[in-house]
Amino acid sequence: MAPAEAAVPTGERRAAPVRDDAANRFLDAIVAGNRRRAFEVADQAQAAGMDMRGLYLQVFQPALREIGRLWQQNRITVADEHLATAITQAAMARLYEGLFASATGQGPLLIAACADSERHEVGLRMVCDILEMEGWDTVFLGAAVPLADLVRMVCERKPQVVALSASLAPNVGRVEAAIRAIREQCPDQPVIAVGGRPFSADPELAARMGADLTASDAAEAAERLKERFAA
Amino acid sequence: MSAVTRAGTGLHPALRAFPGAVLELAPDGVVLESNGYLERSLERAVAGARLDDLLDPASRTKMAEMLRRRPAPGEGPVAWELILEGRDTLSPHAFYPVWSDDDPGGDRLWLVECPRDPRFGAVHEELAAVNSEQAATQRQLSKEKARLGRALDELERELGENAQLSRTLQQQNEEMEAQNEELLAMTEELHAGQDQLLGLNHQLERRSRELQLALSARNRFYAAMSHELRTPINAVMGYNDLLLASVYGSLNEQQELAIERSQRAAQHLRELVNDVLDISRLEAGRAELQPEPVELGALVDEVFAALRPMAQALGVEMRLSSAGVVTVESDRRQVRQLLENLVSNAIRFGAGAPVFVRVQRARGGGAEVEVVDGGPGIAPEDQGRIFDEFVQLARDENGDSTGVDGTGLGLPIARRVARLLGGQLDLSSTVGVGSTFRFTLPERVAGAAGA
Repeated sequence: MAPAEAAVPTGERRAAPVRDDAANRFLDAIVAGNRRRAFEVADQAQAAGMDMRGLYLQVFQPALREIGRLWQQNRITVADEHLATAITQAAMARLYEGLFASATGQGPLLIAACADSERHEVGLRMVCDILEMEGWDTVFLGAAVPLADLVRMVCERKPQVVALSASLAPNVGRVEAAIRAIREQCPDQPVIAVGGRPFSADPELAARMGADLTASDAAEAAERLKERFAA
Repeated sequence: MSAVTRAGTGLHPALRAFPGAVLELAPDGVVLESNGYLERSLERAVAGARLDDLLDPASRTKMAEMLRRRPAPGEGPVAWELILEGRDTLSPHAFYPVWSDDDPGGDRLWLVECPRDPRFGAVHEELAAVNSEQAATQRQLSKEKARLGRALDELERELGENAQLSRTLQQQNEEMEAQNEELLAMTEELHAGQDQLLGLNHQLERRSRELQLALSARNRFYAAMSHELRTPINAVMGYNDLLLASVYGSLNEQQELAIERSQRAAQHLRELVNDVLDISRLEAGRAELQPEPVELGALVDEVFAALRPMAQALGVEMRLSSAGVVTVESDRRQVRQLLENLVSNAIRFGAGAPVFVRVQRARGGGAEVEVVDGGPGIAPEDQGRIFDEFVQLARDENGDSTGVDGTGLGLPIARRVARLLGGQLDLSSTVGVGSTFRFTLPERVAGAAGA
């Protein structure tokens, strides 16, 4: 299964040798299932001056997009894809120490939950991490959070934003149920953002379900949320 | 298309029992035959449906792509991974494509699934969950660590501030202690000063007592002496009277003149003794007041009557001007003495000019009495002195001293009496115009009082 970001590979290549080189080498490493080399590529890019945001938006996200495209070309299997995603998640986790040390967490609070199984949560995790870099306070609940727990947490912590994702069509119903429960039960209404392949495929779906905004990838989601909460 | 042309070729029995999906597709993508495997896992009808309708959108694109790139003969089979949508599920399946070129009805395509141990799927899910949990834990830990780090920094900063505060407090404490010591020293000094003051006070009290004793001794002396003196003076005057009345035979002119002089000298002496007696009585505090209503205009008339012989002798007119009846509660005898004193002074020193007495209510209550003469006036430098005992201003220009003699005690006594009555005696005078003695009396004098 392809992640949300894989719907339309952009194939865009701007002139930036370090960036493209790092993105390609990272892609090669995760397609080969070589975790150690993937980490090395990330470390080298950082040593060459690329910041965390650069790694996320110019290395990890394009690589995952490319993974989806390769699956569509039948050049890799679902197993390859899973392995590549797992390695990318691990590469992201290695950055957390630095990410949170420099984050202030003074900005708006965002609570994120993924309606799918764990393999599809990476896109939403990227949204959280990028916003954290921008000074937001983000809580990433991960996959398959029980609906009641999610609603109780939203009512208690009163986040400015709740971000929900579903990559698989059958899980859209769970997102819709979560939106309805939050709208009905929480006295302080958050902005609700949704994302994932079904929402990219049908631009009207998010509005129909009562969400406030949607985006087609992590970078766009972070950008739209930042715009919405700009001082 | 008819049902006949849509029919499949019929699956081989071995494929029907195959432990994976086997589909026979028409070139337009309609599923002609299914071995029933997918129906069970997807819980929906498969045969007769278009394959696209079974696929998720990404797999639909992929399928179209795969069909366009039909492999060349000899290339070998490559499995196609497709994701099939069930009623509520998505599941990946890997199919090997097999084309039948010799079919007269057109290209038939069989998709034969490459069966997988279902535990692989479970293992994948499990690994993904572990991986995800690890990442989430790492995320949470890093976030918590950063938060703790910031809290620690804050604590350290606060500790630093506390230390700073502590130092400041200690400093302030020291300063306060120093101030305290200073205060203690000052207190001790104050105590010493107080002791000194107490000593001085005792000394003053002793002096005061001594002074009182001395004063009362002096007054007793005056009183006793005055008394002793009056007796012989009365005797002298008595004999003088007898002599002048020719009781002891007639006197010649020279003798008579001598006796008259002697009599005047004796009279003066008696006045002097009387005044000394008055002043010592006042100083000794023995003058006891007897308050009663005193109508001042009437009292002035009485005084005029008593002094008329002296006034007529000197050719002086006396006039009273009173704004209505003015009455105060006071000691009649003392007020009369005060008036007599001032009016007789005005007659004696007024150089023959009329004497005016004005009586009126004082502005703040009580009464105000003015005795005005048309005498030579008193120079400013002498105005303070005139109330001192035994002071008499030089009156050389008068030449004749007859009737203008005085003891020099009249005004001091008058001022003492005015004060005794709760009032005040003042003087205003202009040289060449005259003098005005003004005294006040309260509405009501206090009972008995010392001088």
